[in-house]
Order: sequence, then C-alpha cells, then structure tokens
Amino acid sequence: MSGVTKVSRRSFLQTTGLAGSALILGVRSGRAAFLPVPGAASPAGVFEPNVFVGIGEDGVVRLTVHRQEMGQGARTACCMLLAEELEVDLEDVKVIQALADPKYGSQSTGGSTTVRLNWLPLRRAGAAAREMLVAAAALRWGVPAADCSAESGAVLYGSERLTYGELAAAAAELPVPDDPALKDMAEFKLIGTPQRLLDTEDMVRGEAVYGYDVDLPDLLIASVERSPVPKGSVLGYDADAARAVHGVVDVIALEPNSTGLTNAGVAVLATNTWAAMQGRTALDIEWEPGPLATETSDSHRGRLEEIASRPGKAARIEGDYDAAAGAADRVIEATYHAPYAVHAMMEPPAATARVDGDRCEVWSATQAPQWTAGEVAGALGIPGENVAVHVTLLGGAFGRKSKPDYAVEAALLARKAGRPVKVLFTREDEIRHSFYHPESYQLLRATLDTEGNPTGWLHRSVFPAIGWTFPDGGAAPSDQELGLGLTTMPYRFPNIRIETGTVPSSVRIGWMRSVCNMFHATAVQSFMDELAHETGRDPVEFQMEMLGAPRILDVDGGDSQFPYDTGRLKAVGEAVAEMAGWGREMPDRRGLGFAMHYSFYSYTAMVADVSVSPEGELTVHQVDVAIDCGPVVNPDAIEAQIQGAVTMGMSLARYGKITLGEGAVMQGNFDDYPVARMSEMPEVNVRIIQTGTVPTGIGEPGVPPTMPALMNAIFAATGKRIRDLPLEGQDLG
Amino acid sequence: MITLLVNGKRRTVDADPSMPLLWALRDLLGLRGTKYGCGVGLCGSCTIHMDGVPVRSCLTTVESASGNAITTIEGLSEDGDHPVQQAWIEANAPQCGYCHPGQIMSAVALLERTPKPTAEEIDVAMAGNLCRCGAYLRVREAIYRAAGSEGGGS
Repeated sequence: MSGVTKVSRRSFLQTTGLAGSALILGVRSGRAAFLPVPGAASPAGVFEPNVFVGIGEDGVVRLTVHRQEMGQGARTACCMLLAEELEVDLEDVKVIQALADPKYGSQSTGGSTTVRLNWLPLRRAGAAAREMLVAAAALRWGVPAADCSAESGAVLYGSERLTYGELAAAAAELPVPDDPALKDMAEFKLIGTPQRLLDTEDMVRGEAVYGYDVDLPDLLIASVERSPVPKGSVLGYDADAARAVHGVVDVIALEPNSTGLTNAGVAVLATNTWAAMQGRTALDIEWEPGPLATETSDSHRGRLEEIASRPGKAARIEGDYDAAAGAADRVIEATYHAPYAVHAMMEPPAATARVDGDRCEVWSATQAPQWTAGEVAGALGIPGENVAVHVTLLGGAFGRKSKPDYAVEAALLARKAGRPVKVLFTREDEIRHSFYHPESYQLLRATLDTEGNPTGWLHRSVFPAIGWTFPDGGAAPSDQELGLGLTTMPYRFPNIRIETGTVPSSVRIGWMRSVCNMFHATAVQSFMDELAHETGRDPVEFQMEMLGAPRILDVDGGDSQFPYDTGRLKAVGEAVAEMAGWGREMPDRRGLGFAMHYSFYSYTAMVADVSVSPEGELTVHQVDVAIDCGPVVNPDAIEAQIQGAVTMGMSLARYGKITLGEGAVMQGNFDDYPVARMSEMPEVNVRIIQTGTVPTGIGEPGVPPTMPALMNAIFAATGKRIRDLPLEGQDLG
Repeated sequence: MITLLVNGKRRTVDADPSMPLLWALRDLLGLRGTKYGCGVGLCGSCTIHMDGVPVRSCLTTVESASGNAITTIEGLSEDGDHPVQQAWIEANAPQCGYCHPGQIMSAVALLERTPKPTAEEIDVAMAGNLCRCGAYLRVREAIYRAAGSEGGGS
C-alpha cells in the first residue's frame, strides 16, 4: 500500500484556491509527533490523507504543509521530498500553510520530527502523482508508459513533451498506483543538495508575515499585565487611568483558565501598541500573589539538592550498583546544577483572534495549531471545529510557541471587546511568563575496582517535570523526559542504577530546544570527562572504550524503527576527534573539550577549542561538529541548524539563568538575560556522516553536547571543573 | 499631527509625540518590516536609518524623528534587490528571519561607512543586533559578500 489516495477536489480547493481541472492526491503522513499534545486527535482505523498535493492546469504544484516554519527549514524540506519524486523543479512547488485540522494527524512541530515522519509519505505522494501523469501521457501518445520519462514538470517521449499542467485533468481520471516506485538514494537529484529556505526573499525584504505582523480591519492591540507569580490574583486596578491614555479603547480583566495555561491578568486594548503599553503602565494593579510567592531560587535549589541526596525512583537498573559500590576500591562523585532557562526567541509570542458568535478565527505564530484550536474552543465554550487557526511564520520558537496561552488570551479578549484583538507579548512578558526549561540538580557516582576499571554507574536526576504545569499531568518526570539523555546512557558499566526524583516547581515548565537532553548531556559528558582524568585516561579514548563494540541499546522507549546504535555514536566521536586534531599540543590556558550525545535519533559529537585569559575571560575559538542524522535532505539547513544550536548552547552555558524571588521571575530583558552576540562566535565546522535509510532529527541535537564540550574545554585550559551553570559570575581565571 | 519623511514620502501620523517611531511605522503606517524585539535598544531588530545613520526605532520618538529622512527595510531598494539584500539571499543567512531586517539595516550602514570592513569592524558594527537562531556566521558571510571580499580571515 502506497498510502496515497485521490481526494475530493472540494476539500483541497477550499484551502488552496486551485482553479480548473486538477490532479489532487492525499497521503497519510507519519504517526504522532514525538511530543504528545492535547487536542491532536489521531484518526484511528480509517484512512484519511493528511498531506495534500495538487497539480492544476497551470502546472503549479501546490503542497499543503501541515508543519510550521520557525527557521528550521521544515517547509523547504517538505517541498524537496515531494519535488524529488514528482520530477518538478523546487521553484514550481507552492507551499500552502495548512489550517489546524485533526485530519493532519499531529501538526505539532517539535521533537525534530518533520523530515523523519514525512520522508516516505511525501516521496510516495510525489512518485504516485508522477506515475499517474506519465500514464496519462502514455495513453495520449499510445505508447508504453515504461518508454516515457518525467523531467522538470513534463513527461517526455522521444521528441514529444506534455507538461504536468496539460496532463493533470487526464491523470486525475486514472487509478492511484498501489506501490509507486521510489528512487534509490543514489538517483536523487534534489535531495542532498543545498537549498535556500523558501521564505528567504520575503524575509530580507521585510515582507514575511510573523505573528506580530498580522493586521485585520478594526483590529485592537492588547498588552496584558499578568500576575508576576503563577496562581496569583488581581485585587484591584485603575481602569480609568488606563482609559485616559489617547488610543486606549478598553480595559478587560482575564481570569486564569482551567487548563493551567493562562494566569490572571488585566489587558489594555488600544488602537496602537504604544497606547496599549502606556495604558498598561497606568493600571497600577494590586496583586494577591497567592501560595507560590514564598519561592526563591535558593529555596528551590535547596529542595532539589535535598531530593538528590537520597535514593530516588529507579528508571533503569542493570546488575547491582550497590554491590559494586560495596566492593569498590574508589567511588568518584560529582554533582551538576543548571538553573531555569527561557527561550528568548526574537519574536515574542503574538496571536490575533476574531470571534463571530460561536465561531472564532485565530492567526498565531504557533508550533501547535491543533492544540491552539482545542484550547481556544474550550476557553470560548464553542465546538472545536468552529475554530480556524491560521499559522504565520514563527520568529523563532524553540518550544515556547507550542503553548497556546497567547491565542487563548486573544480569543477571550476579542469576544469581550467585540472586535478583532492581537495580543502582543513584550520582551519582559516573554521572559517572565514562559514555560521554562527546568532547573536541574544531578548526582553521579562511578565505582572503580583496584585496577581503576569502572564497575558501577549511579545517576540521580532531579528536575521539575513538564507534567507539573498541567492539572492532570502529574509531577513525576515522564518516561519520555527520562529518555532524553538519562536512561539512554550508552556506556558499558557492568552495574547501572539510574534514578529520578519528583519535585514540584513554582513556575510552569515547558519544552525548550532539546529539552532534558541539555542537562543530562551536560552531566553525563562532564562526568565521563572527570572519570577519564581521575583514571589517567585520554577522555576520547576512555569514552570509546566505554562504548565498547557497537550494539543496539534498547533503553529509550523510542521508535523501534530507529534503534539506538552505539556504533553510530562512536563513529561521530571518532570523526570529530580527527577533525579537531584531538590530542595535539595546546598553548598555555587553551584547551580542547570533547562531548557526544544521542538525541532525537541523531548522533552528534563536538570538540570545543577555548582559551581562558588569566583574568578569566573565555574565548571560544572553534567548535568542530560531526553529526549523523541519516540521509541528508538539505545539507545547507543542517549546517545552519548546527551553527544555531552551538550558538544557543553557548548562550546557555555562558549566561542562561532565570532566577526567582518571592515567586516571580527576576529577569526581564536582554540586559539581565543575555544571549550570545556575533563577536562571541567561534568558527563552526560541520561534518555530516550519512548512515541509515531514514533521516532523523536536526533542529535540536546540536544543542546538548555544546555545554559539556565547552565545560570540558575550560577544564583542559585551566584545570577548573565547572559543575554549575551558567559560567557568568564564576571565576575562571 | 506629526509629519514624517519615510522612504522618500511625506507621511502624517496622529501620534503622541513620545510614541517610539517603531510603533508609528508598524501600527500607523503599516510598515511592519521593522521588528520589535526588546523595546529598550538591546537587540537591534528595530534598526532603521535616520539621515543614513542606523538608529533603534524603539528608542526614537516620532517627535525627534520628524524632519529627518527615515529609511526602513521596505525603502532600502525598489525591488528588494539592494546589494546587501542580494548578498543575504546568496549566503542563505536567515533562519527564522525575524531579526534580519534590522541586521540588514545595520549592515548597510556599516558598508556605507566602511566598504571593506574587517572581521573586527563587522563584529563591532553588528554587536547590537541579536539573532537567537544563531545565524551570525552567515550574516558575517553575507556582509563579506556584499563588500566583495572573501571572508577576510573570519
């Protein structure tokens, strides 16, 4: 079964404006996204296509893309997969961004899944359409289809040529092939070649439309002052003062919603953004901070440390760690701490809503259009199918924009105001009202026998779980969170004990680019470096030895189609060591640091080259990266994603720190939550190793190894072991 | 009413004199290529030119902008084909693209002052433009391309 089918013209035409006769195919995309999202119904049993390809008489190929573009190249990659098998030029594919609809399966764009889950479906759709177009041409010419070929949007036979536009109507009358022939990878002409992101020209002209840029007739702009402490409430405010600002139209209080997504607040609605912001300043709200107002970063960290000091819940057990500890000649222990962090994507959250009776239309920079539709419907008390969610381009997202809180606020305000409303987060709103990357505290122990051979591994990871944020989510880390670098520890310790603790948080927890992989890779890769030094070994040699002979690790509970092959990890580790000239003599106060990590089914290894001045100033000179993410679709996007991931990892290692005081986030803008600037950029060299038959994640896997590579390099340069992030404020001199 | 000279055209806005030019451009004149990123001059997303000098439109009031020639990303070239925009496309610089109008406005001003900038001059001129996707290396490459130089030892 190809999984490809014809679909009714009407359902496609409604969303694409395709005119005249057309060949329209649907294909069922891969199964649910990596991160389960409430409201993302997966149709069970019945075949329902969820990606649509239409070819009209104009010859233009229209592809509805159900995943979101936030800079990672998803739209471009989807078009490449289709165009390759369809035999059309990439510029002849027109992207139509899909509305939220259960028929698409999960539209949630997260977990580095778009290419992995669409690799076969989109290629099958292209191949099926191509075979139908070729068959239509062959019938018209009265020649065998096998003697015809397809190229650049036309079918050829000798000197005869018919364009896809000329053939679309006839092809639509033919049966869909059961098993369209896919190209061998060696035959690819487009896949594997560097391609520019489709939206580049609009972006450099300032014409790209992000959530912030949506405009509608009669639109009001809302700026919302939210409770500084989650679960706080409004005692009083000065609506008159806000209304006195020229341009302010309305002042509306917002109650927290029942699903834990929004907090109490007061919105000022105005005809322009500045008036809304000025009105908001005039509100002078009196808050009841609520039960979480006692929380500080110190109290929170104390709780994490306390929980990590005693045995937790077993997450992976092999052999008998306690016996190994009892018999050990030496036990090496280290603890690692990383604070809360926030996304700080350049475009803060923004959504627009228009409510008409029991119908609502939303325009949102969202990673999760279906969740948005479901939450908006719930908040307004209207059926889900009455909510249309248009997805704009996302000005960065990194996980933050998977939460639909801002769209819910826009919808509630639009209904109360009786006019379309655009909710704009300020930078301070973005930093203070997020769903944070969790603070973490981890204890690691390794046992050594009298010869110095490692015999046991204990890893206890304590962090507030994402489930804590939601009323029915539970406070314990999910298996999925534990699979992000904790239980996936790949080294051959004879005795392994991996544990977690359950800890509440006073802020909401969310996904952030690579999620728990960040702190787990930081701890595991730092500790492996420490063990190497403690046992007098070279860190890379030690890691390779501890990986042992290549094997399949059956521990991550992930997709069995994508087994964790430690041989692939070893290969990227060896490749990057070679790239960096590992082992070479380094000048005084300069060092190389190695780290590698498996995440989102991809294998990444890094070597950072840093120097630290006697005054403690860190310079990152170069970062070499080897990645195996399966067959390459767009190498240009892979390089860009790695460069970006290294930049983000470096930002987090150097500066990333959200702190709490009396329950409220203490940071607010780029002055107290700095991110890396151009002048801090190292040279980044990327080597892509292609293994396997299906592409795996690329948006996230570059982040986790960056922090430990830097930390290990700092140790190599200075002899100072970093166990607490960020680096800022620590004496490296 | 305040009169502004934007992209060569005289425009009148009904705005509080203290309104940052950013919001007048975006909300009152519909020029939404200029982006908000921080509101306090820390990120550079809102960079425009005033009499050829790069300024942060979030810190520039409409009152102080009145009487100066304002250029936004929309007015940089007729068809989006300014050499710096072209270089940006050739270098595949943008990821999400949001900060790039501001990056481009800073780069254009740099190259007008310093046609062949060194790596250090680029870093200094671009230090105020943040990119959270981490497209910095490609931005630098685009600036070299626009300057007609080959990487300048980056």
